[in-house]
Amino acid sequence: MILHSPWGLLALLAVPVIIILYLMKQKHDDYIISSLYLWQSALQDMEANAPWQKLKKNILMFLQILSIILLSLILSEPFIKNDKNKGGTVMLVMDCSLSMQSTDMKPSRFEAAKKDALKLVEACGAGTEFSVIASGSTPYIVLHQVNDRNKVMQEINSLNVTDAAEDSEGTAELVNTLIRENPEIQVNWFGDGVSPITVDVSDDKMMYYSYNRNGANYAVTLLTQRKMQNSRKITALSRIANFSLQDAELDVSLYTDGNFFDARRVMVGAGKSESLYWMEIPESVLRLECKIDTEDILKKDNSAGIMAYSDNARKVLLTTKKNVFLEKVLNIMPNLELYRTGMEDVNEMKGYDLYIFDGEMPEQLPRDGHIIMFNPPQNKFFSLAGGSEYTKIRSTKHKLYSNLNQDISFSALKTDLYQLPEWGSSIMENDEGITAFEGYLDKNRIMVFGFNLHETNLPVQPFFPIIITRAVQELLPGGSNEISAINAGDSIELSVDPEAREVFVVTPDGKKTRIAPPFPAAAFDETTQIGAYTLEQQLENETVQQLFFVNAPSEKEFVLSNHTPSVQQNSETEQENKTPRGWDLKMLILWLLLAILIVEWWVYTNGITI
Amino acid sequence: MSQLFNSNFLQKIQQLTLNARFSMDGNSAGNRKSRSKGSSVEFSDYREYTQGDDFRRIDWSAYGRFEKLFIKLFMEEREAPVTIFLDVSKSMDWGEPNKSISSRRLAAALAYISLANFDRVSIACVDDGIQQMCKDVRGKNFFHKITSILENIQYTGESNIQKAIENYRVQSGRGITVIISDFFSQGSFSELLKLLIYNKQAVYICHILSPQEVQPTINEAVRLVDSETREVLDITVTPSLLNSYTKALDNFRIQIEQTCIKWGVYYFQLSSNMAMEEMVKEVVEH
Repeated sequence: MILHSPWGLLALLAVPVIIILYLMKQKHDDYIISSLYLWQSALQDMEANAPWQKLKKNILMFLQILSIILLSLILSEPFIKNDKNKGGTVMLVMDCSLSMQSTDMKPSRFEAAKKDALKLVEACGAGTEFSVIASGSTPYIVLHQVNDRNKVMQEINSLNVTDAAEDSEGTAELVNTLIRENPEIQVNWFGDGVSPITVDVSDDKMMYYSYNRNGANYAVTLLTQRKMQNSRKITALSRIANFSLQDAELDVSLYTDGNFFDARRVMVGAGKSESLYWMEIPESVLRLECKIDTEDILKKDNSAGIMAYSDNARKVLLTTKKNVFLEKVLNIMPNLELYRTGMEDVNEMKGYDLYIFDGEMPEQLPRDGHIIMFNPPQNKFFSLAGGSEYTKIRSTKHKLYSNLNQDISFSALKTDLYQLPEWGSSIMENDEGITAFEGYLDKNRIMVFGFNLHETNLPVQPFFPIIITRAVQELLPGGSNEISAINAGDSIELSVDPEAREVFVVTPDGKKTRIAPPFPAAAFDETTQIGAYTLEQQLENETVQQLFFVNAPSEKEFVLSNHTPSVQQNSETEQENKTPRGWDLKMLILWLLLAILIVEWWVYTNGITI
Repeated sequence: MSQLFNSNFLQKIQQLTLNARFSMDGNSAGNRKSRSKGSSVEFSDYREYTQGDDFRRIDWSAYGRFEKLFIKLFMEEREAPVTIFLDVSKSMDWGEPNKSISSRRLAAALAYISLANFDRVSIACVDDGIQQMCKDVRGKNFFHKITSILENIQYTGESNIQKAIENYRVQSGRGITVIISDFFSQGSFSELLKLLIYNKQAVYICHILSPQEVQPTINEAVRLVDSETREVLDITVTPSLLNSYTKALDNFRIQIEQTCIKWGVYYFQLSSNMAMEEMVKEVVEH
């Protein structure tokens, strides 16, 4: 049996003192006096005024002593250690994600998990080796097979919870790798049971400790906006999710540029979400924030922010002989000033934010904007690997297609195949090779499609405008709508102006991180905090600042329907009775104490003495 | 002549007079001033003449001055029935000097003084009942009756003065009642006084304690044994316990005194180490 708080046993010191006092009996000589009357009065007076009186032997005293002993045991938090704890390797996986900040367990799920993890480490026998994995947006090994228990406890104590979503798959992969190294490892996963987990370990070697009391959580899971062409007003759409088990009436407010704009009351069913439209927002507004005012267990996901489109129209130069498909798509994109020209008309390639070359390209690439090429001729910048005819082209896992849950493939009469340059990543491919790629060539980001749009059925596919819009938004320097609202923990490639000399990102807590040079700018992955970030680009003569929001990844962290993790999970009741790797005796003793108190009451009311 | 009441003792008490300020309705003439207006030589007051008054008492000089008839009132002297209750419970046979000796001497002295003043004296030795008594003794010549009773008292029983005096049936009519006791007694002291006052008695309470009761000399862990009930109490004497004892004693005395004041009764705190004449003076010259 182990005592988590052995100091509680100090209370037992009172017991022998009480017993000794009871056992002590002083010998008295007889002394006859006229009357005891005055002495009895004197003693009564002393007893009435003094806090002490001579202890008397009675059953109540014994019951009280027993109660003290049990109470001291409860304070000592005793539990019986499981024999399986002797030696071996124990892995502790700590969920450090946003949902663990929920306060339905006090002080928070994460702190409760840490406390139990520390108890587990304390309970394990000497010679046990510990591995600790922090499971956040990027799972990592904090300690690997360390024998020093104090160090393990210190590391667990210093673990911090993040605002990001848990990459449970990544963590499970990491855990599986370690299990393959040591199949005897005992895995203890401390989480809130939201993400499904698949680990290659038998049930008796996997213990999941759930810290989830299903407290009510509401979140703004989406905030997006669009400037209406007719009214020149902004319309925003927010989605309000209710992750609790009961329907809830929520108060939602919209703030524009930090000022209150409107409030709504919306009824959201349990495990459902509702969309709210906010109309007639002035077009001058730059920043929109949507907040839920109703109290819940996690405040951080109660608000989301987004940047409105900048009024500055971006200049795009389309160099083509005739491509009606591209023109149509580019025309419907807001805030784009499209200039169409032919190669023969181009005197000087300068002054545009984006250059699109369709079927032809200049010898010298422009330096002040990013570039999209369709069916480019052979050139010195990248090499052809051949060609294909009558082929089917499909998408790769490029982020251009993120959240598009359909099969993206189309047919082409003819396409070029490319050798993927060192600086490039594949966008599209067929069975024979790469048909499209993108990457940074020096400071310019280039996207190359090896086919003529007219020789494919891509333009008639429903996803065509989406892909083109995303491609343009990706490449517009600092103008990507995508970065205006991302989730904490996501890694983002910020589109940097080719003329930028230095690029920084300022986090909500004021920390300034340089992401370039070297160019191309590194992907920014320090998005562990929720709030407004600033992208700061130092150009030759000016500094351009652009805000973007990192919002809570609530949809990944909370589920909108009842969910059971795919691994062994203790129920709530079991969790209370069974602390890590042993049986907690606290509840048992508590019941015993209650029984003794009932007996004591019975003895007292019936006047039973011994 | 016994040791208790030797000639020296008798000489000391002969000159003392017990003075009682109360009214009496007895028929025998005595040496005690009565509130009744009678035919003695001591002038008391004037009163307007009413029909039926003895016209020989009309003060004609006053008639000459006020042209109204006044009669002169004089103090009438009567004998007082004096009853002395002496507590003879076991608790009275304790202390150094012993309370039994001091209390008996006081009782004898008061009885002698009353006899010397032509009063009728009764003495009753009480514990929880009447042990011995001697009723209606008149004249100093019969003082030996009283002393012989006092000399042969056995201190054995438990004290319940209220019960004992109720049993005695005090004579109705005005008189003097003296109670000499340590008042470690069962029964209600207040009820006792009520009974005596109802019987028109002028009550003298002589509360006698030994010096060891006033200031205990015990300074160790002892088992106290009650002399009357044989009840025991284990104590370890500490300064705080002694303080509490002093407080309890003060409360005890104050309670008795306040009850006496409430019923218009004379209360005297006496100690067994006081000389007899000192005690008598305390009582007589109150």
